[in-house]
Amino acid sequence: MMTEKVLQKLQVKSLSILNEHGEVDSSSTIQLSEEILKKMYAKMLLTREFDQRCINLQRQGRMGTYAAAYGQEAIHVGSTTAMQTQDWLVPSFREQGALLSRGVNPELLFLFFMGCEKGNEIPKELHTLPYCVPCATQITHGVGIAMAAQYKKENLAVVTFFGDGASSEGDFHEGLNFASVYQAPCVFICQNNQWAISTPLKQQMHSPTIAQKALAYGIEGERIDGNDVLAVFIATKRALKKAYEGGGPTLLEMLSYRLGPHTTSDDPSRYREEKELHLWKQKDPILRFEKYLLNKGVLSEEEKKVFQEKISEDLKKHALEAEKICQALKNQDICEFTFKK
Amino acid sequence: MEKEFIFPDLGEGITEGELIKWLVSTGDYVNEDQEIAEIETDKALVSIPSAFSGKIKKLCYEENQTVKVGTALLIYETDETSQTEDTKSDSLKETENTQSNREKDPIINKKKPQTEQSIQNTTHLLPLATPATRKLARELGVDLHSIKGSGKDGRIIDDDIQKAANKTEISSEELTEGLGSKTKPSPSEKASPYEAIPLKGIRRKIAESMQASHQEMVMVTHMDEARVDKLLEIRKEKAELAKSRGIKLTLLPFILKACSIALQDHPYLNASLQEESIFLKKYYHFGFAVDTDAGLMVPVIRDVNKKSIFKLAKELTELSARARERKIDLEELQNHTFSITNIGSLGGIFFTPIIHHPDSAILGIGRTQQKPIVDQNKKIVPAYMLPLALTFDHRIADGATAARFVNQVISYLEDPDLLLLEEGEN
Ligand SMILES: Cc1ncc(C[n+]2csc(CCOP(=O)(O)OP(=O)(O)O)c2C)c(N)n1
Ligand SMILES: [Mg+2]
Repeated sequence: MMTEKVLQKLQVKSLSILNEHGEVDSSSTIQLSEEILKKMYAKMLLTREFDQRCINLQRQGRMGTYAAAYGQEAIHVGSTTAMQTQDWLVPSFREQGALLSRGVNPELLFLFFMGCEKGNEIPKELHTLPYCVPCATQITHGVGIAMAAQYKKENLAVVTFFGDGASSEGDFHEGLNFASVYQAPCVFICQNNQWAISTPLKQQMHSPTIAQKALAYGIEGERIDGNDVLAVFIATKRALKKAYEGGGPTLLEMLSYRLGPHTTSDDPSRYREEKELHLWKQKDPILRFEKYLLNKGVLSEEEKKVFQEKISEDLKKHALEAEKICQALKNQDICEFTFKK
Repeated sequence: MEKEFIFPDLGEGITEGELIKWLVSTGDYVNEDQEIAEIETDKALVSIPSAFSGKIKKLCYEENQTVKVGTALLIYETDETSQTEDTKSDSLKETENTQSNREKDPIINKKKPQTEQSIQNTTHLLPLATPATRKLARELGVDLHSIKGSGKDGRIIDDDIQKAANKTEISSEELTEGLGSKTKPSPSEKASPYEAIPLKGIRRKIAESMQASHQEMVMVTHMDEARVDKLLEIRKEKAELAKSRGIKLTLLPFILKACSIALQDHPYLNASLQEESIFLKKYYHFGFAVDTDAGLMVPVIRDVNKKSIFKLAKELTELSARARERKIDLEELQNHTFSITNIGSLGGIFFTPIIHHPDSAILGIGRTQQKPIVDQNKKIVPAYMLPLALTFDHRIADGATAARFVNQVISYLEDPDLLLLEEGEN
C-alpha cells in the first residue's frame, strides 16, 4: 500500500497599508509621530532630488555612470527608518536613499560617483557599508557580519539590500542557507523592481514570488508593497525585532518598479512598454505618501515647496563642494583608501 | 565671459553621438540644468541639461550631425565678467576654499593630518599611472619620472613602460640571453627536483607576444594542400643557376611571392585591428619564423611584392643566418604585416600557427610529401603535396576570405607561370 501524507503546508503572506490614493487600511494600527512621518517624506524627496542631480551631472560630463533609485524610495527610507543605530546596513549599488537616510553625507555619495575613492570612507559610527556592485555578493557579506555579531554577542541585526536579479544568483541561496542554519540576525531586503537591466522578472524566474524562496531554507518570507513606505517600515520593524530576539533571518520581498533606466548608460524604451511604465507611475511611492500626509494635515503645500527648494539648493552646494574635493585629490592613489597602513 | 560646453561621454566609453534636436537657439538665455539638446548615442537617447547659465553665443553642430566626445557642443556668453585675470584668482580662491573647507568640513577632517599630508605629497610627486602599470614599471626597472605618459591627461600606460624598457635594455643583451642562460644551482645546494628558469630575454618576448595574440584575437585555421610537382621541377632546373649566384633555392621564396600577390586581392589578411578601426596595409612586410638556440625569432622581409624570387631567397638565407647568430637589429624584427612559419623541414603536416601580433593572418607550411592522388583521368598517381595552414583573425576576416586567399595561393604554387603573369608593381 502506498502512503502519502502532506508533510508541510507553507504559505507566503503579503502586506500593504497605504494604497495608491494615499488611503490607509482601516485595520492598521500604525502609530508614528508626525515628526517621523515628515522626516520620512523629506528623505524620500531628498533621494529623488539626489538622483536628478546626479543624472544632470552625468549628462554634463561631471560624473560617472549612475544607477538611480527612482521609484524605490519608499523601500530605502521605510526600512532604514525602522533600523537602530547599532544595526548594520549593507547596500548594493542603487541604495542612495538608504545611505542618505542613515545619515551619510550627500557629499560622500557625490564623491563616490565622481570616481573619488574618498566617497567610500563612510564614518564608522554609521554602521553602513559602502556600495558594492557585484550582484548578490552583498548577501554573503551581510550574513557574515550578522554571524560575527552573534559570535561577539552584540545585540544587533544586519539589513542587506539586493535586487530581484540577484535572487537568481548562487550567493543568494548560499547566504540564505547559512543565515538559516546559524539563525543569524539578518533582514534580507530584496527589491523586486521587476527588471534586471533589460531582463524582465518572468524571464529570470518561474516562481510566482521571490518571498517563497525563503521557505526552502526554513526562513519566513513575506511580500511587501514596496511603494508603501508604511508597510515597508512595519515589515522591517517586525523582522528586526525577531532578529534581536534570536528568531533568525527574514526575507522581505519589496515589490516595486524601476521607473527609470537601469543606469545612465541604459535606454529602457528599447526593451519595455510605455504602458507598463505609465501604470507604475500612478503607484509612485512619493505621490502616495504625500497625498496621505496632505490629507492628514501633517504636511502643507507650502511646506512641501520649502522642503523641495531647500533640498535642491543644498544638493547643488554639496555637488560643487564634492567637485572641488575631487579636483584636489585628483592624483590620489586608490590604494590610499584600500589598505590599512 | 565665454564658456564652452564640452560634449561628455554619456555612456560607458562612447566616443560620439548624433545630435537629434536642439532645444535652444543662438541668442537664447538658458538657465543651469535647462535642457538644451537631445542626443542619441549607441546606448541611449538622452537630453542634455545645461551646465551653466548664460546667453548662447554659438551652436557648434547642426541637427543630424555627429558630435565627437570632448569637442565643444555650444558656446555661451555667461554672466561672469572679464577673462584671464579673474580666472586665475578664481582658481586660486578655489584652492584656498578647498583648503579651509577641508579644515572645517567634518568629512574631510576625519583624516589624520599625516595622511592628509601624504595625499598632497602624492599629488605632487607621483605621475599618473594605475597600480598595475606602476608594478610593471618596478618589474622592468623603469623610473616613472623619466617618461612622458601617452594616455589621457598624460597618464602613463603599459605601452609607455614597455617602450622605455625596450630603449634601455633591448638589442644585443636582450637578444643574446634567453633559453641558454639557466640559473645554475650552486654545488652546495641540495639537488632540487626541478629547475627554475627565469622568464627573460627572447623567451619572455615570445611569451608576451603569443599571449597578446591569444588573448585578443579570435583565431581560426583553414587548411588545404597544393600539388607542387611543377614547382619542384622549376626549382631543380634553376638550382644550378641559383647556386652560381650563391643562392640556395627552396620553396619558401615562391610561397612568399605567391602570398604577396594574393594578399593584394585580400587586404583583410594583411591588416590589423586597433582601437575601433581595421587598418588595411598597402605594404607587404613578411615575418618568417626562424628556430634559433634562444627560441623562436621572426625577422621581417620588407616589400615582398616588389622583390624577385632570387632576391627573396637571398634575403631569407641572410636574415635567418643573422637571426641564428643573434646579430639582428631590433628594427629587423618589427613592422610586419603578415607572417609565414615553416615547420616542414622538421616534419609535421598540419598545425595551427598563432598569429604574429598585431597581424591578421599567418601561413603555416608543413612537410611536402609524395602522396597518392586521383588525377583528372581518375587515375591514382603519385604527387608532391604541400600542406598549408592559414590562421586568420575572425574578428577581421571570415572563413570565405581565408578560403579564397588560400585557393589563390594554391593556384600560383600549382602553376608557377602565373606568378610571372601576375608579377608587377601594384
Ligand atoms: C555578479 C555580477 N554579474 C553581473 C553584473 C552586472 N549587473 C549589474 S546590475 C545587474 C542587474 C541587477 O538586477 P537586479 O538584481 O534586479 O538589481 P537592479 O539593477 O534591478 O536594482 C547586472 C547583471 C554584476 N554587477 N555582478
Ligand atoms: Mg531588479
